[in-house]
Amino acid sequence: MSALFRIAWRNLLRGWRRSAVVLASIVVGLTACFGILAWTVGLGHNGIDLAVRTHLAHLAIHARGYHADSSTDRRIPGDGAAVLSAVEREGLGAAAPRLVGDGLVQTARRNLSAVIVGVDAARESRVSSVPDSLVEGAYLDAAAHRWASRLPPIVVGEEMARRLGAEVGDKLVLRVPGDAGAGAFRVRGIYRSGSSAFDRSFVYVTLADAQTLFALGNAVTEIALLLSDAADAPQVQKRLRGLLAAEPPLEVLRWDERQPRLAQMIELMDQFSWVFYAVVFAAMAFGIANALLMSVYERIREFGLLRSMGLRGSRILLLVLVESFLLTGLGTGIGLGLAVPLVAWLGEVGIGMGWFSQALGEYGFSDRIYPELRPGDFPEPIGMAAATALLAGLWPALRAARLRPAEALRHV
Amino acid sequence: MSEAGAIVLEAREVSKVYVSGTVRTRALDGVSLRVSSGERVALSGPSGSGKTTLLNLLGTLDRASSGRILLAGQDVGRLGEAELADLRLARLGFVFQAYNLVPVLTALENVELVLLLQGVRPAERRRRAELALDDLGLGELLHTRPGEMSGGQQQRVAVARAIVSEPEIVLADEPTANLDSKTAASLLDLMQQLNEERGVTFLFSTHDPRVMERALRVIRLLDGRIESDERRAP
Amino acid sequence: MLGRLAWRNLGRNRRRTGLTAAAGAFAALLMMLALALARGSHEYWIDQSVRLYPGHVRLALAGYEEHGTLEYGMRLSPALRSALDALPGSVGWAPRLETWGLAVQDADGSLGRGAWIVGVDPERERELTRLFDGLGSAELPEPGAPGAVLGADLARALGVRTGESILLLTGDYYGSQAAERFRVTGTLSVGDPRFDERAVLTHVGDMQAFLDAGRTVSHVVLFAPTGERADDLARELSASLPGGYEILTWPELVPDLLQMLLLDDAGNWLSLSILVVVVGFGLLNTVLMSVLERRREFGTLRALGMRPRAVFGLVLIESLLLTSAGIAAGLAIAVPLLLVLERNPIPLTGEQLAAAVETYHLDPVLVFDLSAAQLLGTSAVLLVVALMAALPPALRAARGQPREAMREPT
Repeated sequence: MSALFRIAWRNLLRGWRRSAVVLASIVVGLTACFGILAWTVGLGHNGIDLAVRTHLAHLAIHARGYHADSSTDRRIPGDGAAVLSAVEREGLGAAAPRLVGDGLVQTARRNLSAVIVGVDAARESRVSSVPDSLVEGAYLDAAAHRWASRLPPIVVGEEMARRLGAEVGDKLVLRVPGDAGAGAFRVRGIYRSGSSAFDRSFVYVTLADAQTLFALGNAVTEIALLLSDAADAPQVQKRLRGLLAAEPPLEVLRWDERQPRLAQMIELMDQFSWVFYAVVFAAMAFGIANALLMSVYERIREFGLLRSMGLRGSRILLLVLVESFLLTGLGTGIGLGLAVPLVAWLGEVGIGMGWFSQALGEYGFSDRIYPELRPGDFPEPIGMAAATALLAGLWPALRAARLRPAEALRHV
Repeated sequence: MSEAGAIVLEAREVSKVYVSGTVRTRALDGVSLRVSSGERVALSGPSGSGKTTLLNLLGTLDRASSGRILLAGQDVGRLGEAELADLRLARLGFVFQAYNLVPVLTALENVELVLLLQGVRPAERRRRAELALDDLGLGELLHTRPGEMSGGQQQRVAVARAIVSEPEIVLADEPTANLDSKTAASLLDLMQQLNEERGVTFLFSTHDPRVMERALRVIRLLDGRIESDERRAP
Repeated sequence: MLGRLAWRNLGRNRRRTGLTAAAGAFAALLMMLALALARGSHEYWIDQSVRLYPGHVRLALAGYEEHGTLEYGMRLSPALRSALDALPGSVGWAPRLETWGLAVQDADGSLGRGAWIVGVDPERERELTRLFDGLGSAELPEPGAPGAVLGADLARALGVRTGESILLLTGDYYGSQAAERFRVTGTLSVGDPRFDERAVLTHVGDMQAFLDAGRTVSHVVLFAPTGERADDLARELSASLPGGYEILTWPELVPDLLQMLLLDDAGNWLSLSILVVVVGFGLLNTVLMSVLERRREFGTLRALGMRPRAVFGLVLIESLLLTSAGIAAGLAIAVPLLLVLERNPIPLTGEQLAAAVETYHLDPVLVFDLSAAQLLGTSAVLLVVALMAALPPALRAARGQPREAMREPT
């Protein structure tokens, strides 16, 4: 076998120009494949990260039935303290209670509907990036609340503030369904999460103020859980389900279960990348097959000689296939050698997508993509390269193997 | 075609040194010669004596390391590639050992190619090429490709290609080397006839005694120098 | 004859020529299909999106785009109405009065959702937009009997059915709280969550009464016969009105969609360029091999008096011919295929795929549009690639030495 490799290698060197050109096409194709894959993965992570870090979190605990029908009637009593302490005792991740409900934000003559989120400021900053994304003012801390104004504080998104014409210090009225009806708040801070769609609709008040507004006593609707590693979500979900008391009945859902469209979209982008790989690999296959065929035709006499010396056709088949694999393998290796550092570098600096910021913001992406490759992203393109080597090498290999010795020796 | 007796090709103290790595090979060493119009010259000598090198230099296919080549009085050493190409096109004809016909073109097209390069118009081109091939007894093979011809036929086409543009001199590199003796004799008859009847100047490089017998002047090369230069009566 | 020579040279190694031309055909076909798909689908999606709600041209008071609130509403006076009616280049117009509020289930006051409440003229909408395409006429709100069409998902979240009523809460035109009962006349599902999950559509007259807004509307949308005529329409409109208005055309009304499609285009171009580069390398290899095999022949041509430049040209012509053969084959498949696809858009049946496309508020259907310009453009791009790929071998051939003619045949 090693002799076969040596012969194959020498043959590639013999037509070094041809080998180099094929190699270049494989390197370009493969580097581009990995680049595009990394970009897609980066875009997906960007979307997931943004959604997870603003409101989805990795896991969320609700009263049973909340996901199908998210009403403030479905609630977790006692500020969710029982669940919180269970999560913290087990060290499962950072947890924060929330009260989430639909409402209307009003100024003197403007109305905008909003998702009102009551939060425990200290805990919230451990599960959400919103407290760290303020562009003006400050977040919801109780001390500032007492000092600055008699009105309770509210933090709104930049997009909503712009539409309302509201600035820090302005008064807003929140109106919610139900008996309590409405309450006045004062803008304490304005945030920018990166997703304009999110910034347009989510507003934050303290948990206590939200409970008063919605007249929910000490109930919350959601406990958000952020894990140190998103990949642990399914295991933690299973553990939590076992851990939580049966009363009241609760549901534990992962981000991708709550927002299946986001996951589907990322899946879809993955699939489109596959179409692209297939096309590029097919184009490469033409080049590889052509080069090998040329090399086979130049060596017809040589093959005839080998055959007449008693080498079986199957060995010749193997020899040409080994050449195909060597060439493709080398190209793949160089492609990887270029793509991995390139992606690592781009993953550090990010790719600015400012031109498309409105579209990306509207669909929940920020306008800087950090390409990345996960270990699981490598086997499939490499497998495809191997399949390409096999398919592209097969015709020339069969052609070489089928030569009859006499015919081959006559050939000039 | 220049007047009989005028000097068409001249080499003055021509040397050629090939450098391969650290090895310098002196293929030609101070060769001088003159070929006049209407001559039939054989350049002979054993392998490695410098025949092909000298032919290359005289045919402006390669450049001398020192010395000068004059083609119709013009020093070719100073000319660029394109000018040399034009010069060859206008004044030189070539016959190669391996015929060197373009395999994808028919006999007629191979001959026409030279006229095409000269800018001759299509109808005129065709007429002259057909005439040249007819004269050489190839009238039947006008539309045949080289792959379907015998070696002798191919070489005749090559001769037709070489003379169709009425060059001042035809340089033939071992023209009979790949031919059997009968075919070779008939080719030599043809070239002798062209020389005698039409005054086509021929310079052969060869080590084939049959070719030397037909030459009116034999120049012998040995180790890159002219050993002898003998004329003989027709 | 040089062309003939080049053409016949391609026939020398049929398998190599065939494989290379096939790669060219493959690239041409894919490029043509991808571009036709992008063009067709983008046009279709833009048209669908514009005709769902935004319109070709939107007329509002200056500042409306920035704030979008009632305060920037404009008075739809009889004079303005007749100016709109008389506007040349307009297919029709429709008034809207939009605000945000709460939709509350009538039976259980604590169950409510943020709602986008829009007063429309149902007859005009039916004529101009596809908003009510799925609804029967009995389901449209009638003036004078406060009724509303709800987004299907909103109705589900509120647990209300057609015939039941909801309470709408918001601030009125003067900033006072307004609350009124509306009977649900129907529900709509247009595939866009902004409507399906949030919209409450009522008659504009009832909406004006509800908000105490007199003849005020938020904006008026106008439709041109085609999207390309929108700019002309906007110009006409601007000329026929005094200052103080804000006139926007559809590219400004759906910038996110346009950017998304632009991003899609960018991705397409990137992928196709990589494809072209890979195919270009294949072509380079073929031409290079063919040149290297023919060193003696090029030497002979040079010896016979062909200039280096002509040899260079000969190799370029060969590459162009080879690529042209590939393009021709690509066209021969692409054109009939596209003619069929043009008339038969492909619905996306995969559930996942359809759901994902709907995330972008788009119809899950692939539309192809054959354009001569794109076919020509694709061919031109491939020919340029053919030239570039042939440059190195052509230079090599042109620099070849005439003395190669003397080489022993190998």
